[in-house]
Amino acid sequence: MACERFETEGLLALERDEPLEPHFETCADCLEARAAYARLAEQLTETGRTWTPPADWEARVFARVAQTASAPRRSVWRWLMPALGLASAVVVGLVLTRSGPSGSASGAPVVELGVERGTQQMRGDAPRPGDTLVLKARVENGETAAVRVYRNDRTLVFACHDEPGCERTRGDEREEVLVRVPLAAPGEYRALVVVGFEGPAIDPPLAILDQEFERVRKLGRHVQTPPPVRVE
Amino acid sequence: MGRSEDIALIEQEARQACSAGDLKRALGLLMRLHGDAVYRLCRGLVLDADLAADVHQTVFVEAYRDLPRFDGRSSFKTWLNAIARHRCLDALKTTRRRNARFQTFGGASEESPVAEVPDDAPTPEAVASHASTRVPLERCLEGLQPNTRSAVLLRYQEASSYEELGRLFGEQPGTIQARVARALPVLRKCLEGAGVSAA
Repeated sequence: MACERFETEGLLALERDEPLEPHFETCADCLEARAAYARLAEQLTETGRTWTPPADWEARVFARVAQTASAPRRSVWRWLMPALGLASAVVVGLVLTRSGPSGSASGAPVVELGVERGTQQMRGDAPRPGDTLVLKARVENGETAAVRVYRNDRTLVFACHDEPGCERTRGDEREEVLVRVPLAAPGEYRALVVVGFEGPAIDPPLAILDQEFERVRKLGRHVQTPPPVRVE
Repeated sequence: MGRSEDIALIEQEARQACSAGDLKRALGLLMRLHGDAVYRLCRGLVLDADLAADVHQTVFVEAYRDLPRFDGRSSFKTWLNAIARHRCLDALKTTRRRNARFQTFGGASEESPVAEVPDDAPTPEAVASHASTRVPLERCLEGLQPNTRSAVLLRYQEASSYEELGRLFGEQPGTIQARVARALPVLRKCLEGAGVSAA
């Protein structure tokens, strides 16, 4: 294309709703460019038409609104207790560490993650539906750990603090949590291990991993994020 | 009755419901009126259907929460688009932070250092993800900065005026006109590179 005036001047004139110069009516390059941008505008419109929200989205919004309205209001203590716990543990801000023994020295949990294989699988196969994710977390200094497991970051498949399904062993300021989560469907399973103190320090989890991560981060909770397990 | 008259009537009805304290009715009307357009903006901004669906719902949950404080200085459309734009930019930043965070964990050192990418740039993995299934135009839109992308989409998909966009972005309409005019050749060149004949 020899003449680029349509791109440098013509487009801006059209966006400003100004009349085009006579040049743009006679220059072959500019006429071609103008036709190309008209097609681009059509493509943008067409692409937008294929973007439609999920069918039940309005019901979901109303459900979330109802959930928000019925949620108990947090008292000052609800916020203060985590802060006090945080101060006494001398843990400042979010500390994100790799899984491993070095965690306990810094107050981080020691997390071990594995997959228990179902039957009829060859050694070396990727995890499959029917396998079980096994997670062990150890915390010290009187803290306690809550575990959440998400599939594809958007589905909370397991949450454990004091609920059944996680075995908790306590003693000598140390606590060990053993969690077994059935890997029921393909996807990427990611665990969050949140460390805090008993009582109000560990609230019920949010349903979306990102939101939960941000929530615990804002609370100043210590959180461990082991590598994900991909189930095929 | 034309579409614009419908819109005006429903907006009026929503304002009345809002004034009467019937916020759920107002919310229902706004979802009916602007739900699809807000979703398109979210979808075009975050370029991920699941994330867009989440943010889209959040927009209306927040709108419901803030309806009692809606002062009517702008239209509901501009107000909702402003909420949507902010929530989408938040979602993009959260996703980017999270990707950077989890990459250091998974030991995926062969991937690009996402944390070093400037805030407005698309992440390498975002560009790569779903690349095979997206239409070329979506991939090309991803190459635009989010603010530019939202301006182009609102202009060409929602026929927003530059005055509306100026109020939404807090900028002069002329600035946004120039931004859109500069973005179009970028899209065209990208589409040509992808072998799309329409461009």
